[in-house]
Amino acid sequence: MPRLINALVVALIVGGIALAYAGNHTLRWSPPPAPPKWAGRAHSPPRPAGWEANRPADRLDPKDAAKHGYLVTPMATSAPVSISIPSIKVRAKVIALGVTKAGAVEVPPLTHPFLTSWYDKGPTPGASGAAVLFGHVDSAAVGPAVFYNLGELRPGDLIYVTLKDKRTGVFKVYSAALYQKADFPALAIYSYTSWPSLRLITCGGAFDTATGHYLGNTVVFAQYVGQQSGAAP
Amino acid sequence: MRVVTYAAATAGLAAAILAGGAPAALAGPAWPSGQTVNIFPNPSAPGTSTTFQVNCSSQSAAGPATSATLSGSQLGLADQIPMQATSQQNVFVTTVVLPTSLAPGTYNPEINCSNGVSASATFQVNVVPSPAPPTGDGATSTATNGWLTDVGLGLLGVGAVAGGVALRRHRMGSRT
Repeated sequence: MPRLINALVVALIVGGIALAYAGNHTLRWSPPPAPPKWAGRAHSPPRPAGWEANRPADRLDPKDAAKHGYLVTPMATSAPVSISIPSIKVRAKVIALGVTKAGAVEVPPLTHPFLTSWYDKGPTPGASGAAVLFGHVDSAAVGPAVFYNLGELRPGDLIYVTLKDKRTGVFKVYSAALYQKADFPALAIYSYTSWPSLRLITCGGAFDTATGHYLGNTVVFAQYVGQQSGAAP
Repeated sequence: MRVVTYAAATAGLAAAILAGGAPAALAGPAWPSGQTVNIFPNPSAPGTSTTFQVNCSSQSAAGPATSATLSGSQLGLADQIPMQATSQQNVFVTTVVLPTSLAPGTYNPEINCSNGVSASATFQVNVVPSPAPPTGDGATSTATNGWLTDVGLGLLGVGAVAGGVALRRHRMGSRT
């Protein structure tokens, strides 16, 4: 009988140490997914058929567009209110944010990990040019946040952005890549495109515990393919 | 008599349209009425390829223009940038890439036509937010399974207490 108790005591102590060690050395969630290399290959977007570089598409007469075989006409300027990405089960509100005095883009507060923001110094989604949306990848309070699975998006996936005027723009992903912060492709992201395009941005890569920041950003590039009335699916 | 007046009025109208230049029927995007200079995109941004269009026609200037130049010094570009003629008389166009070092703000680049017309238009250069955005606090990359550690420490505690009790009983037993 005492031998059994001794064995139980030893098992409890050894098992307890093992569990405590494992708990301290394993991650509660897995780090955010990164897009594979092939998904980021398209550096310049496939231009919709009939669109010419630098053509002032936003001033085109619809009849002229039809004559030239334009596939899509841009949406009217209206601020985005929500975003839906069915393939990674994202449904979120969008708020408008600008830049800080230091020239950095503003992002939603970490206390609202499921909110996304639209860079309001750029065009609205669906208007000619590149509209840029930001969302957090994670937050201590909830773990995975709104754009945690952004790295799972692949060329061909659809993104729906609903505007204040109740119209929804449909965008198709053509590229997704992870960039080191030092190589952040600001120009490729914010530069004007003569057709409407969309960029979604979150954090990714390794996490630097010394600075408290991720070392990279996951960026998804998408192009406008059409619009529909009413909410996103 | 009435018919003649009508015809004359029509002819006058047609002449006025022709003199006004840039009829909408010609190729390209419709020319916004009353504007001499068009800039796409506006607002633009540093590093962005930006197109300038000018309509040199004027009531007072001497005849149609044969060339036009954009003064790019304000934008950190060449001082005299020649513009290309288009299928429309008096309309010239050029596309430049704004320097990445260009400060954000409002600019008024001037365009001079060979017929003496000079024009400028206000356009806005927006900042390109350069620093990469901080979008996460690392929870999914750093947070450990703290609950597992708590359970393990609990088991360890129970084991230690049980071991202590067993040891004491053992000693007491051996004493008697």
